[in-house]
Amino acid sequence: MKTFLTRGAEALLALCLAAMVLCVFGNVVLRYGFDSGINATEELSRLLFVWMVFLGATAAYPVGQHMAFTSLVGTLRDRPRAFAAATLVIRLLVLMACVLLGWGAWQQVVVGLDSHSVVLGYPVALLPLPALLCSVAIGLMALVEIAQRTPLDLGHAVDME
Amino acid sequence: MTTEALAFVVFIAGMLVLMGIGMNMAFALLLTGAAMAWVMDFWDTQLLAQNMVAGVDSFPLLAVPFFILAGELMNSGGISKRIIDMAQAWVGHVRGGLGYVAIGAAVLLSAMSGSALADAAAMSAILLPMMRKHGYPVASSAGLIAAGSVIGPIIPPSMAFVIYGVTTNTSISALFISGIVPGLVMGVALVVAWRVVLRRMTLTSAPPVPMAERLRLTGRAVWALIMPVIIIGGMKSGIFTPTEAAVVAAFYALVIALFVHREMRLPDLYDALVRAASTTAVVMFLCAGAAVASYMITLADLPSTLTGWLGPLVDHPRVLMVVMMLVLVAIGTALDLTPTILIFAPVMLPIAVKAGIDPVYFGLMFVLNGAIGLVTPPVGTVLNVVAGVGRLPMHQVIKGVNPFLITYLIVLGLFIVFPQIVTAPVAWMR
Amino acid sequence: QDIKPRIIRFGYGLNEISNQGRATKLFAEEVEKASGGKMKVRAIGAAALGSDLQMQQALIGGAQEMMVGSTATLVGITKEMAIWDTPFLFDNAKEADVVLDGPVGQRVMDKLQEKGLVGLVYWENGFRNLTNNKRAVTKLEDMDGIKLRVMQNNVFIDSFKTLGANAVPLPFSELFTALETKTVDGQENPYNTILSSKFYEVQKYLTVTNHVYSPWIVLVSKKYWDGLSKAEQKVLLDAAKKSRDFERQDTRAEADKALADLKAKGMQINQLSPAETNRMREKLATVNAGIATNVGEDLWKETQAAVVRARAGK
Ligand code: NA
Ligand code: NA
Repeated sequence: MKTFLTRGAEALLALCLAAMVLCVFGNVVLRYGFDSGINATEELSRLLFVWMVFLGATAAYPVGQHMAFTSLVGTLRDRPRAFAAATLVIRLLVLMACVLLGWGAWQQVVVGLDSHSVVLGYPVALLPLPALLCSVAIGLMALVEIAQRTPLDLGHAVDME
Repeated sequence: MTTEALAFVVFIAGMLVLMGIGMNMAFALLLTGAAMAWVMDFWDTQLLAQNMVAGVDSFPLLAVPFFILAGELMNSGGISKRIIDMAQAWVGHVRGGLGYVAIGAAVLLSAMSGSALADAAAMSAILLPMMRKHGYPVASSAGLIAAGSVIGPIIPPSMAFVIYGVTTNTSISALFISGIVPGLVMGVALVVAWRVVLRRMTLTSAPPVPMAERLRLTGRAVWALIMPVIIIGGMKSGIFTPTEAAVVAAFYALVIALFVHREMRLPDLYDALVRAASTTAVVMFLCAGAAVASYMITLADLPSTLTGWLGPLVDHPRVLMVVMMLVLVAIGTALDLTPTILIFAPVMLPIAVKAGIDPVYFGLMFVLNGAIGLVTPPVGTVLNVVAGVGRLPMHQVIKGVNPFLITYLIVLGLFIVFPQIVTAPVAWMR
Repeated sequence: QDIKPRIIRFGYGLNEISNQGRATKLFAEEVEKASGGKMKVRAIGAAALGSDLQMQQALIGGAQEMMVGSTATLVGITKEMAIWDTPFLFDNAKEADVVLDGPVGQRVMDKLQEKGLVGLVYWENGFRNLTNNKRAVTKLEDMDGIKLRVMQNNVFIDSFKTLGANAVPLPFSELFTALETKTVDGQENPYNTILSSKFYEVQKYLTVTNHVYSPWIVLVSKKYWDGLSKAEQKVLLDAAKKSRDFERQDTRAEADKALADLKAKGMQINQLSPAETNRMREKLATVNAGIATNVGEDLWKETQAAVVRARAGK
């Protein structure tokens, strides 16, 4: 199940980036080769970019790839109680961030249903939507981590010593 | 306490506490922004969501994934390897030659790739085993490679300049051009430092490579060497925007890798796309979080408050510059280049501008300083990469990088005392 | 009187020392005065609250109270707003004032209410003029192939495409960088904006085209407006009207000065001849037909009639 989700996310990420490359490169080719351009490319590549970022950020959460300063909390490793407490605090804060972000994004999605982008005419709701999905997904993952008491991933900075 | 002062306290406290306990920085920035909004009576969750999205909904930022992709393709398509082979053929035989190879390769690679990490990965994978084999002290070798890759974000193209330019509204092209000479100066400084470090080494020299072989290896690298000409030349003459230059670089690397070197196959391309997209997402998610904090920083008018506190310093730009650079060195020990730019550039640049410091010069100094932070302990991502790829303990890399770190700090000081080294070429080239 | 203490966050895109900033300041003062100091306007300029589009969404969602911005970016929300984008609609500012402040202007403004916005008054951005880095535009054919930044709005895109330019929609906040990095060759804005945004630093040629009259519109979040008492609404509306009268006068004086300044700053300025203006107007017939279909034939005819009446001076 997890590998299936991971693979799907990876395929979507690659697709987003490939499409962005084609959009922007295609525009360069059109400008110099054919003296024209597609107005939609900029709008489309930006939309794809926003989706790619929030999708990739979601996929990066369970594997602990997000940038974090773990040196201090790493010093608590030998004191299991304190380490567990710090881990819990971090996850509760992540959960709180997700709730705030998700609630705000939800309201903006509702607002954006009725407005349309200029060139492609897509509903403006498509911009805050990935933020909403991302916050829901990361929020759920944080909840699972809290329930299962998954140990905190300290990243490679500490392993290396 | 005024609202502005309170917002400043919340900003600093939020950063220290939330990041200090090891929280994901993007969310730490989001929560800090939220807390500032609360004390400024500007609370609305919609603003958090809106600004996170707006933080990445920007065309110039598209250069970031494109440059990362170009770097990935260069490494998997054998472009980086050919550059290193060429450098080795020319200077590999002199005493300590592989060190000069590392420096030369660092300068050449930095003119093609946008990030220090890609350069560090390529060089430690290829050069470090070679240096080991020829009896070079492993700590110094690793340290030199780490230091060399710091040139990556200084010589264009540069992801760091893109992010700095978008964050502070500074011309990305001007920043790119401002990096050329300082990047070369850094290379020369490393050569000098390496000569000093060399004295205490006993080394066996490799036999010189015959001229015919040198020329053959140079010929093999010629496609790679054309890349910086396309990027910098294309941008300088206004053919491409920085974003377009990035996509052209990626496309060029792809064509070379697939059809000229034929060292890459389509599955490799898929992997490169996934890796580039994932790396970008992590960096840009941080941009998104930082956008919330910087929105609140702007609303709280923190730079003005700080300028007020700094008082007479503002009348002495040189002294102010020294103070700000020292602060940045301190920040750089613990923070990576990107978060340093995202969090502190919007606060510091307005102060610098108020003191009459040229924004492009300041941008270069800021990014240079932040890039040096990539090789300062305790948190230095380039150190991690070199240690990881080279399978070395971290403390050895740290020990090895020290002389070069000191060299860089001297270079930084040089640019403070003689800003003309940076500003004159920019004025001449624009 | 039924007035409560309130803080109103009012966002705008230009900086404090622009005509937008001055009029906003006057609006803030008038609100404070009329409400006996109870209602305070917190004016935040320089797009610190985001682009026009971002602020609009914030107003609709109730996250921000007020803003002033371009009518053109509202077209994605209310299609009737596209009527003000009609190229060469007004010959002079006088005609614009009469039509915008009359029943047609009100009718278009009222359409916003369905979408969660309340329009108060129109300010003047001004007649828009063309700058670029490629060549001095003296005739229709000179537009050919110029990569021109336009507002994110289909009428603008279509108009300039019809005239032969390569129209690129971009948000205003990214415009300076785009001009500097040569992402685009040119842009079109009123003199005041060209001067205050320092476009003269990165643009060489200025052509006086007066191709479209651009209004700004002062907006209130409907969620917020509906929570105000009648007295509070009146305070805002009266202050808005005062700010409008001040803003137009101020803007016109500034435009005259700005043109002279731009010349002094070294821009090459040329005038489009009336004959060329007419050629362009004729070329745009299809665009006008498109606008009429989009905004509704009724509104189109009503507007044209209002313009004719204004032109006749009645
Ligand atoms: Na570089
Ligand atoms: Na560091």
